[in-house]
Amino acid sequence: MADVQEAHPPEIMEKVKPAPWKEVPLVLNNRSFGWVTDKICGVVESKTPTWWWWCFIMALCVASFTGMGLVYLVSTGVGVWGNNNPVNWGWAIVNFVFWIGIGHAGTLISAVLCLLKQKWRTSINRASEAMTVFAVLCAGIFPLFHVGRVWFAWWLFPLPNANAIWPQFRSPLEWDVFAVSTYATVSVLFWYMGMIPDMAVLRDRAKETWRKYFYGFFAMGWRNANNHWRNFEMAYLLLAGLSTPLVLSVHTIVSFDFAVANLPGWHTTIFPPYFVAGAIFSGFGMVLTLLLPVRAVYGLHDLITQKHIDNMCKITLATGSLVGYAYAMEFFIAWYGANSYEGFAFINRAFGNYWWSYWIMVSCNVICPQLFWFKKIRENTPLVWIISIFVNVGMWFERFVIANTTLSRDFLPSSWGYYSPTVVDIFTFFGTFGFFSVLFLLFLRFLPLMPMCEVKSVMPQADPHGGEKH
Amino acid sequence: MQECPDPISKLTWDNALLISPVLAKKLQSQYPNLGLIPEPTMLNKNGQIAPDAADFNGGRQNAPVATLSLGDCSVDVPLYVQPGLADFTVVATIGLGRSQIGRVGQGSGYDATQLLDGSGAMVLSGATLSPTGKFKILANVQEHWSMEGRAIVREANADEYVSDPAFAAHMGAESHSPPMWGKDQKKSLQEKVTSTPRGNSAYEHPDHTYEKSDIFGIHQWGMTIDLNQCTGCSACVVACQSENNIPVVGKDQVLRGREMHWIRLDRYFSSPAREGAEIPSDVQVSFQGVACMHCETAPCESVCPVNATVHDEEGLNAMAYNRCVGTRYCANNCPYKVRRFNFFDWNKRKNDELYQGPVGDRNDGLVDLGKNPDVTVRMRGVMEKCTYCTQRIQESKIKTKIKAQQDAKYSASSSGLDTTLEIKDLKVTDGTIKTACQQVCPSDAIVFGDVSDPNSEVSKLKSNPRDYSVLGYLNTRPRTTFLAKVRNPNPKMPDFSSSPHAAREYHDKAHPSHHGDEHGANHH
Repeated sequence: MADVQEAHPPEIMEKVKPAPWKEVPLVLNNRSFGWVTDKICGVVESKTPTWWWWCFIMALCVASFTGMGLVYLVSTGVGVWGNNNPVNWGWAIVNFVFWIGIGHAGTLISAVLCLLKQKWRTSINRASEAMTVFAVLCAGIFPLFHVGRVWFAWWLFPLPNANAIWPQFRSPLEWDVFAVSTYATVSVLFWYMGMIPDMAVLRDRAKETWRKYFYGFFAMGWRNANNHWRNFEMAYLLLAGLSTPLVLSVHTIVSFDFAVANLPGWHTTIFPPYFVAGAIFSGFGMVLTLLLPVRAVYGLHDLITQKHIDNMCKITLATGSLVGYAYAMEFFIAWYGANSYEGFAFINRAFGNYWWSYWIMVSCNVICPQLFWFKKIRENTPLVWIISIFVNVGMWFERFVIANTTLSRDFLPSSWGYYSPTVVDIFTFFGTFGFFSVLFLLFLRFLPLMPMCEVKSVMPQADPHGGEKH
Repeated sequence: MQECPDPISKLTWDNALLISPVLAKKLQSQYPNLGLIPEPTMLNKNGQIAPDAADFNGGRQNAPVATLSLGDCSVDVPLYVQPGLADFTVVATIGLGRSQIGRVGQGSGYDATQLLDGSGAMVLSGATLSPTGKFKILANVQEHWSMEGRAIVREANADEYVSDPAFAAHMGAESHSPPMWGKDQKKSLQEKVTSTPRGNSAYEHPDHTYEKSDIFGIHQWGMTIDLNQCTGCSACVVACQSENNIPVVGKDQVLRGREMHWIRLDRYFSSPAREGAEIPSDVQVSFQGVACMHCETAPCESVCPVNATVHDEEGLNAMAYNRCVGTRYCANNCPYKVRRFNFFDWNKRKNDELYQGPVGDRNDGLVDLGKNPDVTVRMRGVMEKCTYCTQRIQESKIKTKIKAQQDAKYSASSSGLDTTLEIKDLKVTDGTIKTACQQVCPSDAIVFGDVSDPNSEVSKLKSNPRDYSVLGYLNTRPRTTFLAKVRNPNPKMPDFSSSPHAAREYHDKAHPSHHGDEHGANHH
């Protein structure tokens, strides 16, 4: 087929004279394989920078807020939070959905983009997967500790027991247990498995004994053998295939927490796709927030290029617009459905007692990312970073709006109430950023932040044809 | 009693000086910082859209304190704008604000007896009010006073009722949605409660009909609350509290929206015409006692991840405290918002030391002695709600069974046959079981009984055309239903309206095309 086309190019081609396809290299400045190895391993092998220690200690302090908040919560009761009777789920569930959503970009980058052969994913996938794992850990704290008697939370697991009582499989919270634990397991596996060849590199370069043992243990005897690579690539592909449905399923099930309930504003079929789009949106926001500083600090401009930033900005733009469409569609359906409770729920979202949170959400999630239409803005890295922060803020508010406006004013006006968080709520949530940062800093310090083998595979040097076009 | 809300103002723990809306407006214009009239937000400045005007700002009632002077006496009072109060009238209640009182009464309310002149006259004139610039936060259990045109309390005037006795069935979303019971809609109540499967569940449910099941409940419990008869006295709230060991949580927790009453008395105001964001002067009041409805297809049950709230074979929505881990999903999903969560160890700790957790002081043993020994005392972290006084149900069932056994033994010994017990012998006689709220209701508005028995009082009431389910369109099939309210106003009175204000609000909202004053005349 190709031969035929080459022999007879369409006549139109003569007239339009298409511009030559400019393929932007994924690694700039024609770097060698050795340079990539030195660069990535250097991050781990060099002396611990002072800024790292400062950040680490600060993050530990912030993380301790979560620890203290949880100790107080468990010892005293859920009452230390601001939850009340109409609003039985306050910040805890908002934070849970927020963190679990962030994880989605990692899975999308590592699994979906892998299956779609998007080569640009290679330099960002490791860090995004790490982000996914840590975000899921942060997310897990909230549903676990928001329950009234956390010491019985294991009842949510289907363990055989003397009472012969099983969990209730009709409850979306029960589905969450399976969805999130599956997600966490697969994400950890995927993340770790991808690291094995890089661990072997670090092991082989290691000078200190502890490094030899540490990386040696995790490299699992990787010898760079042909059959190792064959198994590795097959396993990687399988895990990518396994993770791909998870990108859709996890946030779909999280959205069921709301959509399966019968409350106006929650009970809608749009929630699953809308939540998935929002999750990917927030995830890419977080990837940008994390990787832009990392790129600057470690001088990774040749590996995380403008093309990567451009692509991430475009995905953010696309998913942000999808989310905006979902917001509009919710209003349309509420009107079209002619259910007065539903109609009220949406008017109340935009103009009721939490109107401010709705408009923060719309401006951060729908309006802000529209700036990414402009190349100038995508190329202005500090601005991209600031917008990515707005995306994170907006997505937190989205969950706040969904959870709180509906609960605070549902069916019977006699039971309407107003929810405000307490100091304990705020500190517990704030602390999770510290917890997340602690983990991410440890990751930067001790693990290869990019998959060296995969980055090399997309470099021109890896092409056996030496870049010649065939 | 301190925590039992005032039926009209819904205030707990404090009394306030009730002032008329017209006076409030006047005061507000003189002292703009009073905040007496709730600030409308966003679009409702010009009318209908957001109902914040019927709400307290931020969910808390921050009442301005004014000095009320009469003759030589003066007392500082928090102001509360009371719809329906005659212009330039203020109402002070006596009984609170005591100086010699124990822990519970300290700091609650003001003492209005100072204003009395000793002549015994309770209606006095010539009082003056001057704001002090201070504010006092009042713990109000109902932040929103308007029904917002929803068909929650359904009302009609007597002549409307005569022309359409089933007016309640023609209101609400279910009046134009598919029937609640699908093809079983036309069946009798008894058939519905004993044979209709509970929803279109993907799971197989045990067939709890008489013929098919050994464990079939021989009773099917239900309740009616007659809104016509309810006077709003709140005796049910207090009776339930003492019967069911419901903790008193204190003013601070009421302010946070954590009052624990299993039955609450909703009070709605409705006015001839709502003028946008204004508190109306001329209102009608509707009361509605709301407790767990024991829905046959209970939304709380399907969302509990640990099976802590389940249906029993006699139609009770049972709550297994021991199994509850406290996700609170059930309370979120309850459309009636009747579930109550133990945010703290209310029963274990003193109310003022809740936030100290394990280092806080324990309640003294005297409180424990006041508890009903037949009812579990709940710990923190579990959900609770109305049980239809299941302890009373069990007691009566056991007594009936013992009596049936004795009778059977007696007849067996006289006839020489083996003893056998039949279902009819085990049935509790109608009227034997009275729930705590029913027992104290002075107007007999609450009736409880077996709805599978067509001759029980509750069955008869449920076949009354006024009978309706709140939020029936959700297909929750509540076992507690309400009898709609019929008003009989005097046409010669100046405030006469041909239809109750609540009904007009509903019809205005449900059928916005027919607007205007001619509207009240005929809806059907």
